[in-house]
Order: sequence, then C-alpha cells, then structure tokens
Amino acid sequence: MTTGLVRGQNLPLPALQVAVDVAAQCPVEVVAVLLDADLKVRDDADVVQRGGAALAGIAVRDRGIDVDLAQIPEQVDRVMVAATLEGSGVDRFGAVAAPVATVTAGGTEVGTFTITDLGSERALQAVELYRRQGAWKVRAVGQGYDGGLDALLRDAGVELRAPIVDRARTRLAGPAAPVYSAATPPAAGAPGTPVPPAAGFPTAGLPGAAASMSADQAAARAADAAAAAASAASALSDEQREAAAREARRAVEKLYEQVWGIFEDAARSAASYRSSVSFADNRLDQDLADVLNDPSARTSPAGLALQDTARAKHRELVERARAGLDKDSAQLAAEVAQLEPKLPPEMARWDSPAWAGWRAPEDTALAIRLGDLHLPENPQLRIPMVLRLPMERGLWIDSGATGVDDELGVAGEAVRARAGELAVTLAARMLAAFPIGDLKLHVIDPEGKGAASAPFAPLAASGLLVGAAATTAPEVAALMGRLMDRVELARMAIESGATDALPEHIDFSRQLLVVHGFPFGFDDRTMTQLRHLVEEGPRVGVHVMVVGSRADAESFGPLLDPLWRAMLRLTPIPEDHIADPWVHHSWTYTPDLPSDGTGVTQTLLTWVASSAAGGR
Amino acid sequence: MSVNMVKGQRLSLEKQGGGQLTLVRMGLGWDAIKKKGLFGSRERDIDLDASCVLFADQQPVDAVYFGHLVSDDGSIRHTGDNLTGAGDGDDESIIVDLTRVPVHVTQIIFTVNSFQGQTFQEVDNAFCRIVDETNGQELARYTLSGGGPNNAQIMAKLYRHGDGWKMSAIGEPANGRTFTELMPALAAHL
Repeated sequence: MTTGLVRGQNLPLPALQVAVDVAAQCPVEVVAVLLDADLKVRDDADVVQRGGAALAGIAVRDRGIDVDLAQIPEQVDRVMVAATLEGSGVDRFGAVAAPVATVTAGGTEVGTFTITDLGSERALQAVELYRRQGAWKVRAVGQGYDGGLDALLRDAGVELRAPIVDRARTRLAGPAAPVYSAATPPAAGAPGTPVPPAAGFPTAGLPGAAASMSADQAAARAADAAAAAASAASALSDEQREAAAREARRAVEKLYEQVWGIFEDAARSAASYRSSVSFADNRLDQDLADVLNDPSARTSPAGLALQDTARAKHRELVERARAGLDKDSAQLAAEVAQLEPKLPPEMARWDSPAWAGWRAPEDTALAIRLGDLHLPENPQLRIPMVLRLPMERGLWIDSGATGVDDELGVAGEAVRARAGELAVTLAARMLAAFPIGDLKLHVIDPEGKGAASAPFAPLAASGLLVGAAATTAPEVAALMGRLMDRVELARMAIESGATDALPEHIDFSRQLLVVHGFPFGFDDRTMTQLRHLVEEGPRVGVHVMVVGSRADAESFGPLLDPLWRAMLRLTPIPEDHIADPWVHHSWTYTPDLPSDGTGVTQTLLTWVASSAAGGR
Repeated sequence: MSVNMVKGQRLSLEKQGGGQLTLVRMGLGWDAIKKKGLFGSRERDIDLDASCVLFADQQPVDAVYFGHLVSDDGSIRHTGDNLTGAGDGDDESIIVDLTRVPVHVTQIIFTVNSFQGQTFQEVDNAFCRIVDETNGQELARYTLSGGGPNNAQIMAKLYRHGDGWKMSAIGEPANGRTFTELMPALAAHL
C-alpha cells in the first residue's frame, strides 16, 4: 500500500532494496549523498552521481536511484537523495509543477512525496533513507536550495564541489553546457531576477506520476473514474469524460497484461519443474540400468546400495523442484486472488461482484473471459483465460468433448446441454462487452425444429436477435447468404479503399453468428459459406461461434478439417487442450458456467435488452 | 573492481563481500563496421552473437540465443539480436536470474560467436563482460578486438556451488559461427 507523504513524515522500509524516482516536468539529475550521524560526508567520495566514481550498493539512474541498504557502510547514517535541474533549461523548481518522489522497497511502492511550495530553488533534498534502531526508514525532506547543488553539497561538508556540479549539469545540458564554477553562480538564479517562462514544458498533468502509478492505484483510480463518470456524467465536459475513459482503459489494459504475465510465469515455472523431473527420471533410469545390467551386482549389497543412492538422488532433486514450483504457484495464486476482484465484468467470472456494477459500455471492452486454465501439477492455480476483443478466431464449442475429469460424470446428452449453455453465456458476455447495438446477433438452431432449443431460449427471448433464429434449411441458406454478402462487400470495399460506396441496405455493424447443433440444417453450399465466414469474417467484423461435434459432422468428410482448425476449440467440460504460446504445455480449460444455470445469463440479457430499449 | 582477462586465463569469482550471486548479465559490445569508399556496401556487417547453454551435469538441456530469446523456464533472457553493432555500450545482453534457474541445471556457459565468420582481428572495440546486475559491478571483462584469428570465444561459466552460484571466467578462443558448433569445445569445460 502506498502512502502520500508530507514534509517531515517518515515511514519504515519493509525491504533493503530501495528505489527512489524523482519525476518532474523538466529534466532533473539525481545525486546521492551519504551522510554520517553529524549530517556530513566522510569525504568527497560520499557523493554518488552518474558519470562519477561508483560506490557499492548505490546505482544512480536517469531520474532515480537504486540503493541496496545492506551494502551501505556502518558509519553512514543516512543516504540523502537530492535532485537538481541546473542545466535543464528551466531555472527554478517553482516554474514547473511540483516534483514527485516515489519510494519503492523490495519492488513495492511504499510512498509518494509531492514536493510542493517550491519557488526559486534550483536543487533540493527530496527524501532521505536513514537508520533508526537497527532498521532503515525513509523521510520526506523537501528542502530546496536557491544556490543549487553547490549550496546543497556545501551544507553536507563536501569540499571539491565544482566537478560534481559540472557533471550533473553536463548530464542535463549536454557536453556543450557552459562550465559552472562555484565562484560565479549564474545570474538567473539570483534573487530578484525575473524568471523567463519555462517554454516547452507542458504545465498540465505530470507524466512521470502517471507512469509510476502502481497497478493497484491505477485500478482504484479507474474504478473511481468510472464511478465518477457515471454519477456526474452530465456535469463533466466531453473532454473530461474522454480523459476518464482513456484512463480507465489504460487501467484495464494493465490488468489484462498482468493476467497474461501471470500466465507466462506459471507456464515457465511449470516448464522448469517438468524439465527437472524428467532429467531426474532419466538419470535414475540410467543409474539403475548401470547396476541392473550387471547380474552379479544386481543383488550384491554394493549393488543394492547403489540403487538406493540413485533413488535418493532422484527423490532429492524432484523434491527440490517441487518446492520451487510450490513456492512459485503460491505466489502466482496470491496474485490471481488479488487480481480477480479488480477485473471488469467482461473479464471476470460469473460469480464476481463486478457484474453488479455492469452498465452498457461506451467503447468495446478490451477483452472477455472465456474460462480458466490450469495445469495438473497445481490445480489450485487457476489462470483467467481472457482474450482480446474483437476476437480474431471463431469459437468452436465442442459438444462431443470427452473431458479429463471422469469423476465429473458428465457425458453424452449432458455435455451437449452444457455446450449450448456455454455458447449462450459467451454470447451474452459478448453482447455485454460491445456498446449497445454495435453487435448484431444471429442464431442458427435447426435442432429445435421450428423453435430455438432449450438452452437458446434465453437468447431468443431477449429480443436481441436480428429476426428469429433460423431453424430450417431454407432459413439457414437465406441467413448464410446475407452474411456472405456482408463479408464479401465489406472485404471488397476495404481492399479497393471504397468504404464510402457501401450499399445502404446492408448492415455493416459487427455481427455475431451462433450456430447450434452443427451440422444439422447445413448442406455442402452453406457449409462452404460457413468456412468462408470463419476464415474471412473476423477481419471485417463478422464473428462465428459454432456448437457441434466432429462425430456428428463426419459425413462431410475431410472438407471440415480446415473449419475446425480455424476456430478456437472450447469444451463444455474441463479438458486439457489449450496450449500456451511460450512452452506449449497442455492447459486444462474449465468453462465458466454460472452455478444457477442460466439465471445470471438471463438477467444479463435482460439488462442488455433494456439498455438497448432505453438507449435508442 | 573488474578483472581484465587475457587469453585463456581462468578465474574464480565471487561477489564482493562474499554474498551470493543472484542476477548476472553478460554484455557484448562492438562497433559497427565503417563503410568506406565507393563500394562500401560490399563489406559485410559484423554480427556478433551472445549465447548461453544450460547444462544438467554433462548434458545440454536448453540454450538462449538469438533464435530462442527466453529459456523455457523464463530464468534467462536475451535482450535481442543486434546485427550490426550499431549503438553504444552493450549491444547484446543476456540476463540470468540465478534464483530461478531450474534445480537440475548445474552449469551455464556463455559464448560469443561471429555469425558472418569474421575473426575478432577484424572487429573494432569488441568486448564482452559479465556484470553483477544487483550492483552494476563488472565481474570480468574480456577485450575481443585484436584477438587471434578465431571467430568465437568461450567466455565464462556459472556453476552451482553449495546453495549458491559461482563464476569462473574462461576466455578461451574457439571457432564456430554459432554456439552449436562450439558444443565439443564446451564439453571440455564441464
């Protein structure tokens, strides 16, 4: 948790690896000064800066510093983090917005200090890290110096100051900077001199502050922004609303990146474990073979002892690998647990409280949740499977899936029913993820013979369908023909750059076609059309979701193989068929089906439908 | 304190103050070839490649190089291929998080190869260094330029020692345009 610090406030540091970043609207150069109990340097070498002599434990970066406090010598009582703007083109801190110092310990942000009330100061002590009863703390100092870095260093008892000041100035102004000498301070800094405006530096907003914001803060801020935007929408100007929306989107983008970051770490951690175990197995085989191939050694005491040693070696390595995996998994599971409640509804599970706050989006949501992924080694670590919208591939919900969890006892007809349910929940999610009216929904459902079959009743009842569900072969042919025209015309228009010339009677908004009970109701012609839609549609805004099983479609022969391959396969029951992009493990996909059957979906569809009715 | 190595010199290095090495980086830098004259474009760019091979006992199990930028376990990352040597400082880096290297990996060997086959005699300002990333200290540095007529170099070896890792600098000239051609030479250092 991060704290907003005020001058003089101190905080304990939870770790010894500390970073301090100083963000300002003008370039600043950070310098570290090591002070003893009398607030003086031991000698001039206690000043650390870029381009100067190195000192163990301190690394000065551009606008920041990394300190390993464990390496700071005993006699040093505190590390002063100072910043100067001399040479930057701006001649006083008062000319730009208040600089912000951000303190991070062990990778976690502990506090930010907005250094307000600065005027003609040209250098400042930002924060100090100091010893307190055997531990380290950080204090917000915020002491400025009109006399610049030279005056700051003089206070610290540094003797040879000019070379230090020159190095800092050169960093900011380049090698052509006039050499600064302590004897002739530049007139611009003298009191009473009019200060020219700091041209070239925007005065609104602090880019550094936004960039250094932690994900927690960002999410909290996004939530606030969204709430504020909703409650006071009419009071906000368009510009403010746009800024809030941008901010919220950035926060969601960050969450999305975090989910994928956790996914990658989990995949790689498992790869490390698996390669260790397979190495241990091979070594055991090899070691045992060496002993067992020699008949006399096989049962001799020495031979038996060798076998025991080989097994002990194997056990030891596997145990160590397992310990590493468990440690990583626990860490990642904790991260997922932290992340889940922050996810926006489209990326959250059905049981997430985020759904209670759902409202029709103004822009397409960033991504949607398709389910969870896990590996057999750590079933407790469930990675949210979120994919970016609009999706580049069609979805195939396999109603013939056999799954991995036999004890689940779902088979045959039950799997088919669940496949239909999954399709409806995913369609509902997509409708909720696009601005109202931006996604047009079509359903092909010949299984119900004249009416939509049971799982599709909520979709049919929602009134969100374009026309009725196509349930007979002629209806299927007509709908497929319309969608084909839509794809072909859009594709031709885009390719020839003539998007203005599109005929008006065709709806060029985004379309989602849900096919239930595939391949019933399809013939060779409509089948080929479907293949074409799956392959070409996503690029021009036509998306396809197919519920069906390979076995049912066997009569069409190998014609359909490319169709299956072109779509992302999801299973209504857990099955290990999703490969990660880094090390290609088979992850078990678990669909996220609402626990109360279709109740949640129905509620959501009603919301979407009522938003649509209210909005237009 | 950095150690400047000479050809074939071997050194055992520990972190200063006796602590454990946790994060190290192999940096490789060189100057782009200076195109001169009318037909300068005929000169081949110099493409040095930093690679590392992970061994479990004597057996190679993974490698990180321009074609596989992250080890399967994610503990070792290559910052990407630099084909010409343009840019200052380290042109290619391999960062090793030793705390995350799989438990069965016991040794990691770093190599440098000249992909176009030029020898180090023809490359300006080529150097290779191993840096302790936790404090930025250079542990070993080897100047490749002006070296012998070889186009590869076995740079250094990280190996498990007790609960931690140690490094031994090798600095042995070799020949091979990619690390795979060096495998027999590497075996001698396991």
